[in-house]
Amino acid sequence: MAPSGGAWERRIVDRIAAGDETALAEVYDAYSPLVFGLAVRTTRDNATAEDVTQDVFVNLWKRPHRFDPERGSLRALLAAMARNRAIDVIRSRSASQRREENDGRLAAATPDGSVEDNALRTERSEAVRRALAELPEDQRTAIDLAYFAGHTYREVATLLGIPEGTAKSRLRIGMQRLASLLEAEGVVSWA
Amino acid sequence: MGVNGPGPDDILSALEALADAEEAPPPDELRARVLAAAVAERPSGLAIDVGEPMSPFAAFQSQVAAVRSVAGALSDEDWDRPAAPYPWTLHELLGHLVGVETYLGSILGLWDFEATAPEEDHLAITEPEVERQRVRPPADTFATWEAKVDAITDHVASRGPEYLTEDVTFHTYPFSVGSALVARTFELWTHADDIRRAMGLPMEAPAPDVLREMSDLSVRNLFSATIVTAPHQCERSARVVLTGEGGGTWRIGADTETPDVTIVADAVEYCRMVSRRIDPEDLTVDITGDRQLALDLFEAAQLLAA
Repeated sequence: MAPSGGAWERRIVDRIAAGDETALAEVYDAYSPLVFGLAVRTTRDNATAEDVTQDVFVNLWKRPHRFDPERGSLRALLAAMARNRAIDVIRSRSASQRREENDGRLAAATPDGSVEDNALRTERSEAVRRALAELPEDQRTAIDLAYFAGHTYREVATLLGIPEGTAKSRLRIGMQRLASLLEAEGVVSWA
Repeated sequence: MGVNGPGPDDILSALEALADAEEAPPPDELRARVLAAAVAERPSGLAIDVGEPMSPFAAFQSQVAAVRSVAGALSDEDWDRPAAPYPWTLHELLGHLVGVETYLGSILGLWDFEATAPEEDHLAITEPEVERQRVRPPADTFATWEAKVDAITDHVASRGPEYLTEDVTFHTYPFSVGSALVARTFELWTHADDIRRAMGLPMEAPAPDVLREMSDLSVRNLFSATIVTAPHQCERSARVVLTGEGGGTWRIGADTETPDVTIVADAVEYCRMVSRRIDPEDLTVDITGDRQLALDLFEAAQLLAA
């Protein structure tokens, strides 16, 4: 099991700031599956996902003080960095190139096959999948386009042919519903 | 959960859960590529907040200023305060510094110094000066210290930067002029804090660049010092990571594939341990590997402190 916990994260980032490259290696070993997985899911291209993964960890090495333990976990920061970097990459492509790549590469988007047929690796992953499946299709589609494909709510509205207010509503209600489902599954809990 | 359902933090947790579901192991070869790219941007060992190396002379001057500032603010009554951990008053502590500056000036060729104790004994060689200064008004002792340290400063400044690389013998050990000044920086910072402590003032850490010079001098010489304190350890290897401002990472000792011990500690705390203001047992430290080697290195680090 990868190391975890706030004390470990603070200590490891202090070591990174002190120039200890073995600390970066430890963070890579702990979190590269998370970063790479998110990058693949978002960019739908393994080579691009490798570049995104490299960018995320190099940026952590260059700017370790971006990690503020008061604002969240290192895991959450790296996930956000991965997603944001991946979205930056796919937004830089032309819309037509994106459609072509989605058609041609969707089936090979992950190491194990299509996005929808991903092998479930952990019980937590299964629970998240179940929660997503319980969402109404319109909310699930909106979340998929916004969170994983990186579209703004305006772009989601355009892609789905719906008013912007409807897109925002589907995203907000969908995420609230998802949060409730995950709590019921015991995946997340909050005070 | 909020009264009306999940709030923003709850949704963030849901997003984290979504991220968790997407984990996928990257190709094995990506690891080496990522690590190489990282150290190409910032070399291994270089702390994030340290720029170009500071001149040892500038580091020395910074702590001369620190002592001048804190000692210059003492009242007549303050000079009689005890200067822990020594059996001295603050007046006698400054008398000790007069002795040290006299010794340092002598090895730089400014004046003579008669050692009445073994030269490696940093405290004992200054005892005669402490005795001489004890019977003088504190203000006169302070003025004498200022005159001596200013003479040293003027001398070093007049000789140019190449002077810092010239070899000297400091307390019987081979030093460069620059490294001797860094050793003095260490001492001046320590005694400035001793004065602050006696006055009930907060301790102060030196600027990151100064701290880095001090840390670097100490860490690079750890295995050299083990020749005296723990000869059986002097062929070993270590990684030392000093965190916080002015820290860094050093790989020292023998060229082994993996270090025999990895020591992670706060840079300021480490320097206070080196100067014997924190016991090694009280140092907040993470040790991976040979713990006894780490303890022997701490003992070696304190070798030149008094």
